Amino acid sequence: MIVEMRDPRLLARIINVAHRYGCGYERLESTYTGGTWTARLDLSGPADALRRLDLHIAKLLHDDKETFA
Amino acid sequence: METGISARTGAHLVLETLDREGVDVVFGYPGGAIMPLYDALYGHKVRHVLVRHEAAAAFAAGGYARSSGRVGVCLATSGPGATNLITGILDAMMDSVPLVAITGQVKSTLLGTDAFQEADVAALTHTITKRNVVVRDIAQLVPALRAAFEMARGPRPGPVLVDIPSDVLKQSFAPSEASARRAPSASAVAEPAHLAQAIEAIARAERPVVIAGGGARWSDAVAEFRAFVALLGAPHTATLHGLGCAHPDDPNFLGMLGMHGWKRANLAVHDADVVIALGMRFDDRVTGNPERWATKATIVHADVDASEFGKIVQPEISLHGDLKATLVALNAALAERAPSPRHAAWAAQARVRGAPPPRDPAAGDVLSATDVLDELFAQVAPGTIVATDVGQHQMWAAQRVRPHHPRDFMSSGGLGSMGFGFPAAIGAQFANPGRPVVAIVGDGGFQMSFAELATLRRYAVPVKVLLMDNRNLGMVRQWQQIFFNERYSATSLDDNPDFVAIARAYDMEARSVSARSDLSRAIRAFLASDRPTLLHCACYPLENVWPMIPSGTSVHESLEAVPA
Repeated sequence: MIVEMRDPRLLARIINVAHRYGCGYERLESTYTGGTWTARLDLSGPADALRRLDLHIAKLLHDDKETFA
Repeated sequence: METGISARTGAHLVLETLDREGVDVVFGYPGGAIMPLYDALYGHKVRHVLVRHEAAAAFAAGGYARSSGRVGVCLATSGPGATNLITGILDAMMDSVPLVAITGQVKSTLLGTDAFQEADVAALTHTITKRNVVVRDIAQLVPALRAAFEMARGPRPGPVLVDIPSDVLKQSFAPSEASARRAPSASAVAEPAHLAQAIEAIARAERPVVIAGGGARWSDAVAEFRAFVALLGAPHTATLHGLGCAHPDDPNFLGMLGMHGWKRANLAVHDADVVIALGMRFDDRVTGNPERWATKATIVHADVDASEFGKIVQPEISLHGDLKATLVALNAALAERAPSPRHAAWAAQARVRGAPPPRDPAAGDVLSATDVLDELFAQVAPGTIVATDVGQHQMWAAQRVRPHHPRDFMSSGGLGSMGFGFPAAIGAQFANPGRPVVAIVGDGGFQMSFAELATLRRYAVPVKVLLMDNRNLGMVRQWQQIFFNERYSATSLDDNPDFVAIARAYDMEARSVSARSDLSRAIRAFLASDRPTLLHCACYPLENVWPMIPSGTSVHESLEAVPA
């Protein structure tokens, strides 16, 4: 999964949520360009948890986008 | 630093922004790092309400928001002031309440040095706010505050925290002319294809049930909800936060759903072939065991937050969008069809399947909590705002309350935080001057918040406190009786103080009632008072809340007495 965010603290929040959903991560990479952080996350876990995590991450990123719109 | 004729301090910019956002009242408690803001508040038109503990500031702001639909605002200083807000902030997150918390912070140069009263409140509240921000640059102060209000409002409301170092509050700055507030996003309506699927499922339904959740309150969709259930002619129920969506006299309303809900509501959902869930999140207190919940039904779930779809119950049809707009679209389609006579027959069948059991016969002539609440709701005037605390009284009240609007009934639902009810009622009274407000509290929760009696006295807030004193932490005691072999660990409150004397010490009208024969008159006098009033009800200590669907089970394991 590749995500873009303005507030890099969201990455910590995504990791927290992943832990709560019983998911793990095998790779975390991030780069910063022009005010935006781009992160690649390779997440692992039960399919249902990953599906819920996807939805939760989408909400966090939506709020981030709205904040900096 | 910029200076000039139009330069204002950060503290004044905060108040200016609050004023522009329509804030008339803030709830807070001063302290070192936020002193510049309190200095600016001196004589300012934004009214500050001094509470006696920061936790009450957050709960009062929540009560203000829940009862008005507007954003509630609380203030606290750094460190302990900020940490004392945390429970109320999480309560707002769990129940989707629009809240802006403003905290003072140690000055910027001391951040990260473990300075006096320093707490990393941004980290502490990271997972319990929609967003938080530490404003280190005064140029960012007004934009940060305006963004906080926008985000708190929605689409799904929630709390936002703005942490401001004291030096930023003191700096002067001349912001450019405030840009116009961003127009709110157009109300998103669910995808037409999904709406068509929902309409088709509803049209085919033999036994539909509609569930109102808290989303209807925040989407301001009460009229649309009532039109929807009228067009459908089907039975309907509500979560704790959906109470008040249905008109209290609607014969098809089955009462609250869930662990302590009406049995007929839970049975209807169990037997339904289509469940239309509107602005709800399938909390475990509603579903019990989700694998065994509404197993015969096609689930249609409408919500503004897509992350709720399938979080607990997987819907067959998801309607992602603003609930009000979604209901308008559904109503337009349903209006073209005649209500199905099947639905009326199903509703008649659902209505007669069980109300909460009557009072505990073991109480004998002793006043029982259910006596008190039955009498209260028989006498209370329409339009009265009711706030509950958390515990047995909360569930008894939710089974019996007949609100005309979801903003007229509030409770800490998701977090279930004791100590919520009394300060929330105070916040509701400030948002709704002139309307009667009743706080229903237990003896446990009231002792977590009764320092706020001082707030009632200071501002002459005519909140009526109905104190249900069973000398126990009743709900925990009930669980110990049923699930922990009657080992009553730390639940007796048999050393309670004289609550009437305490209330009178704060100049309240206060009475105690312990005889059933005196109850009706005592409630009448209580409701008739226009002053801060407390009615202490000495209740039978061993009464339990029935029915009860034990955690993780289904309606067919529902209890109506302690198992033998």
